[in-house]
Amino acid sequence: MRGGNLLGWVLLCVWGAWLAALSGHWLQFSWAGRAAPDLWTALFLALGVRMPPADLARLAVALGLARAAVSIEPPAVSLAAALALGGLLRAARSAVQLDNGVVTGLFAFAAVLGLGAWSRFVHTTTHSAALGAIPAEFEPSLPWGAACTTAVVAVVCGGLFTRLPGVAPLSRRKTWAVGASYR
Amino acid sequence: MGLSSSRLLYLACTILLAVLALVPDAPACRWLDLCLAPTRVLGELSSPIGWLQRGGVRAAERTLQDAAAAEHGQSRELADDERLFALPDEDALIQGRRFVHAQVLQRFPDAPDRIECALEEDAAADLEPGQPVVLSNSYVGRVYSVDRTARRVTVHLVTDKDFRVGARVFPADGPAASAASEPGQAAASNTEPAATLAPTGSVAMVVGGLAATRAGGTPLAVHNPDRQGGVGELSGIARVDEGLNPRAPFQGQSTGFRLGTLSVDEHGRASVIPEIDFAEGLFRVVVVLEPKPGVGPAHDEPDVFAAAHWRESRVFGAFEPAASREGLKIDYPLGAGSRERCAVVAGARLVGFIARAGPLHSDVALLGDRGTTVPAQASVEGVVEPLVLGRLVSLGREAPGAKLRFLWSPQPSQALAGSAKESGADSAAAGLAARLFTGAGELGVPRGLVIGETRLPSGPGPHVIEVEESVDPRLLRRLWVWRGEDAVLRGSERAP
Repeated sequence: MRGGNLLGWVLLCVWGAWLAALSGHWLQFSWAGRAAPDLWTALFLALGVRMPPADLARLAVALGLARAAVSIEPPAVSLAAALALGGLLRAARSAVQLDNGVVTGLFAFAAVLGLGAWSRFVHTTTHSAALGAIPAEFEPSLPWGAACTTAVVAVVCGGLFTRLPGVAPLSRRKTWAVGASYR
Repeated sequence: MGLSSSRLLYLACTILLAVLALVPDAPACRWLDLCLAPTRVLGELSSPIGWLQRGGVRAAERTLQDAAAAEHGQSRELADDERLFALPDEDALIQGRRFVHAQVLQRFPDAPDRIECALEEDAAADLEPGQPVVLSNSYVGRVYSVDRTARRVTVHLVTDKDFRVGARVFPADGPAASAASEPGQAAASNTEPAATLAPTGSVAMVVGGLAATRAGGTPLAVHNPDRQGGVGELSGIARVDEGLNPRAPFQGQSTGFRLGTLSVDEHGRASVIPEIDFAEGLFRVVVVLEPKPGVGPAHDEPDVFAAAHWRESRVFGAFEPAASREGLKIDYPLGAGSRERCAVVAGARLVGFIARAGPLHSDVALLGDRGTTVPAQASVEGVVEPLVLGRLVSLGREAPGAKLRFLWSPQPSQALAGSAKESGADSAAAGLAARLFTGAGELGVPRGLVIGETRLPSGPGPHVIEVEESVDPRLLRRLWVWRGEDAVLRGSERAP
């Protein structure tokens, strides 16, 4: 990895943490509440559909670290989610052209629901002693609102995320890389 | 098509991390925490996002400051009421006895029927194993061991499968019913309690351990009733009668305390339903001693809010991105003394618990984090006696910023139903106004911290109660973490 690239990955971690924190802030304090978009997922997809497939693992690790830095969930939860998302993205890219706005939006929608379900599953499993007593009607619902708004943000602002200072060189695609992603 | 080695490695890492996510106590998670400690820099870099809430932060800190003195006072008043109501109120159980207050510190994970208590009076020298331990008029167990240096006592609860205590049941509607209040007088005189405890119609038995029944709460098992064919249809109050065992020490102190109400199920199996919640509602006990001339009460409880018991910490992240969680990141690392499940407060208000103590910071799960549990008691409006609620389980909030919701599962023996009925149907329907405080019984959670204000419904439950906090804890930038007495927090979690 060249020095310039390394700086790019570090800056990606910082942007990832910022966007995750901003999402958290909107979620916790703004009028949007639980319908606030998950900017971290939108950034992940914006870069993930454009980066060379070989860099998807690095992208997953960098953004996993960024989310772990602002979340109270154990780091393994955030990292596992990021790696799984990266793996799915790579698999999807070999089958579908994710550059298409509608497909990206659908992927973002599914990704936010998946992350919500994973977080809920881990929390319920690790706190089963306390949560076992809670009646089913108090189970939190999946983040449908956030999934919709994230899908919109991923479609509308995806290009903007790839132009974030320091991150742009990471998502610059080369012709051979585009071809390789369809292998 | 086979997987390349890099893809295989990627897949293996993903699966490994997913497994670790489900086993948060695994040693590998500690190593992962250590490796990822530098990510605190990212958390610090994102902290300026909190500036968007500057106005709210100032208002919250002002509200907290204004309320602090009053809330400290309320907590201390509650402590006085707790002490008052921990003492027996039947004359026969008071006379000829001396009482030493103790606060429950913890239940040992390897011996859940033993509790460690901190003495609130300097009476450790008078304590001996075997002395009875009570709460109000109810029998709790016996002193198991005494640590005179640390002024701690371990109590063996009557719920333990190896615990046995002599008992006598007085029929509720029989001619001996009135004698139910008498036995303590005999005990108080320290004469032969058994002789005076055997009125016509009473049944002697041995009680100890938990009954094998599906009934809720902690029903106590009944052994060897001295009536042909078991206790049959007998019902009434079971009281301790150690006179059945001539070798039992401290008979004079223990005899007459209530074990509970005798209950017989449809299969004819008898059990004693205690009046206290042994599982979750035992916050305070009293050791019963022989009277000592010239020795009066010498209350010496350490001040919960003394600065030495708390460690100030700075919040650098309050932006939890997961919708189902609610928490903060604070600059209080493991090396500085942070421990999981330690209480985190602002003023006198409990805001949450340390969820993860990391090498460079700690994560705090707020009370709004679903699944957070807290031992609680309530100061109900118009009722002097503190109401033990047991363990509340957080259901989170209906929406961010809404009231806290807790699941409250009262035991049948808990006093709320009585209190609610006394207050009339209308107020019972609307719920009784109450202020919630923490109870004791957890090493990292001192009693008397304010949780919030609510209205408590009557009835058997379980209930969902909505609790209002005067300050949104997510807005606060300075919090205090309970250190307690360091020696206690670092103390053994194994039963002696």
